[in-house]
Amino acid sequence: MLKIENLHVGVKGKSEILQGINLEVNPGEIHAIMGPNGSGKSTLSSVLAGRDDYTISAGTVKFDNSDLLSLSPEERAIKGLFLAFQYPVELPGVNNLYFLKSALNSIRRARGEAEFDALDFMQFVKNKLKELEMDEAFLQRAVNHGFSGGEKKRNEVLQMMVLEPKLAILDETDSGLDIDALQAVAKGVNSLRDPSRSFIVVTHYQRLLDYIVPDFVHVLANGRIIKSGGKELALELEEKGYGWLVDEKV
Amino acid sequence: MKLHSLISTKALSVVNGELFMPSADLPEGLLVCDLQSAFVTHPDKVKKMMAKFEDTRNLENGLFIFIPDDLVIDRPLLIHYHANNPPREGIIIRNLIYCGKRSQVTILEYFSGEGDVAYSHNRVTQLELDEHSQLNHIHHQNEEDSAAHVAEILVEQSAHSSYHSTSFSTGAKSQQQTWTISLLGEDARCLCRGMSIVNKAQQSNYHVTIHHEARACFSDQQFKAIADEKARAKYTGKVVVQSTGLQTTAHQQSSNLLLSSNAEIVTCPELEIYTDEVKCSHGASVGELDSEQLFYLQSRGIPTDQAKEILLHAFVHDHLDSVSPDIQSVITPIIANKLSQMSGGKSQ
Repeated sequence: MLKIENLHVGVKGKSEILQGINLEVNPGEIHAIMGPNGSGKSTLSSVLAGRDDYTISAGTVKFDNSDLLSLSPEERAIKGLFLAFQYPVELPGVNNLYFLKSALNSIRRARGEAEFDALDFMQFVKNKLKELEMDEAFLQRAVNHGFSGGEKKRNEVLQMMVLEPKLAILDETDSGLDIDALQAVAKGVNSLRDPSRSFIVVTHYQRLLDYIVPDFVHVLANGRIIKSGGKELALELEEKGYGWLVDEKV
Repeated sequence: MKLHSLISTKALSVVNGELFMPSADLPEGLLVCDLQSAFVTHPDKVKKMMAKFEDTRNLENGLFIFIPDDLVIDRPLLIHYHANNPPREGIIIRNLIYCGKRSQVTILEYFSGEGDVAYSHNRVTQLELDEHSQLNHIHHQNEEDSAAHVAEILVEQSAHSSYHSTSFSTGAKSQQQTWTISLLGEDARCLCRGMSIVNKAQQSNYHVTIHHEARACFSDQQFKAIADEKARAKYTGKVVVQSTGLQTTAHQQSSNLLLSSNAEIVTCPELEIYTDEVKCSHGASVGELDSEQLFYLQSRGIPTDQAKEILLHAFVHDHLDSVSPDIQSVITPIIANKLSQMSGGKSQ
């Protein structure tokens, strides 16, 4: 589904942040990417979603056999890629329900599928809210505006559940969440698990992985994946920290 | 663009400066007549108001609106000014609006035109708000591209009166609105909002002065502009607190969006204070559409043009939201049409 080969990425005024990433994600798999601060985790998520602040100096990314890096952010979403932002953006004056409906209908329109009308969409989104234990009042608020940290993250997961992507990247969706919110978010993710749907879960801590159990764990440090393993690797990291891996490599 | 049915069927119409009453469905209890008739029916009031603003131009065409004491009306009074065969010297209107004690009224004034011939709409509107009256006053200037719109609006507020004005400007080649609001009685309150949405080579200019002359008055100016292509939007806002204006609260905020490197925004909030014991603030910002917000919308599958349009709507949202739903239903489609032109969309 996703194949990253030798990806090198820099940002203006800084040396290369990603220095040759290789990663393959197959349908149905959950990959966790862990690593210390500044290792390039968020850069990887942003580049995959199409943020244009970066320069890609080498490498390719194939998503369902198309060249992901040549697509606009909206084309990537239409193809089924979704990024849950580490810092969800506030949109004062944009109604959350309207936003969700516009997003889903834009994607459906681009795919040649029938658009939802207001009533059907309302029913559809209410069911998703229930799964996330979110209040319906969320729909009438401005997108993320004045939301608490936890509410913003839940709202990201709500968007994911509405858009039903093929590949969802969760960029530190667990940071700033209390245990209840963490469980609700994990429940949302797990409800979307499907043999044809994949996840990349970017996180600092092993805790989230108790609830969203990964098939693979990768350690990203200094712009490279320095170790990959099964879910037990996350436990090892929790116990020993990142130091032993980073030192070993250097 | 088709006019909203509320305007075409229920509004009082003033065509090329002349008042047409027949089709108007006016709220009960209001007195509306042309200025010439008002000289006969309310000579004292008319002369007294007119003496406050002398103009050498022939300003005897216009409307007289008299709102009696204690009149409270839920539905808005709609006035549609239209130009279709304007005189060469331009359309000249002088309006007098008197709000009686404790009255509560909403007025929408909508300006439009048709045809390619250049014309001008010149108007002087004087408003007098008596004690405890409340006037919600909405303007929408949506003239033809060929038009010049020049407005002088003078407001005098007595004690405990409340004046809310929201002015939208989407049309005209050039427009100049000069607002002078005098808070003459204690605890008078004024909220003055404006929104210029201009593209092509349009010019929009709001010049607002609020005089705080009595104790414990409140004023708030909130002006916004969106300028695209080679358009220019200007706002000069001034608060003058006289020595009699103790315990004044006055705010000014100007927020602007530039959509093109050839467009121009000029904003100039000013304070002039001749007493102590006041609370005043002013602020101004000029920026582009936020790239983080655009990226967020695009990453959800929303095409760039539509994403821009959503953000432009969000920018005008609080001004639009401040007017009642029936008036919103008149204005919103016109503003939406204008915004879609500016975000790269094709609707006309």
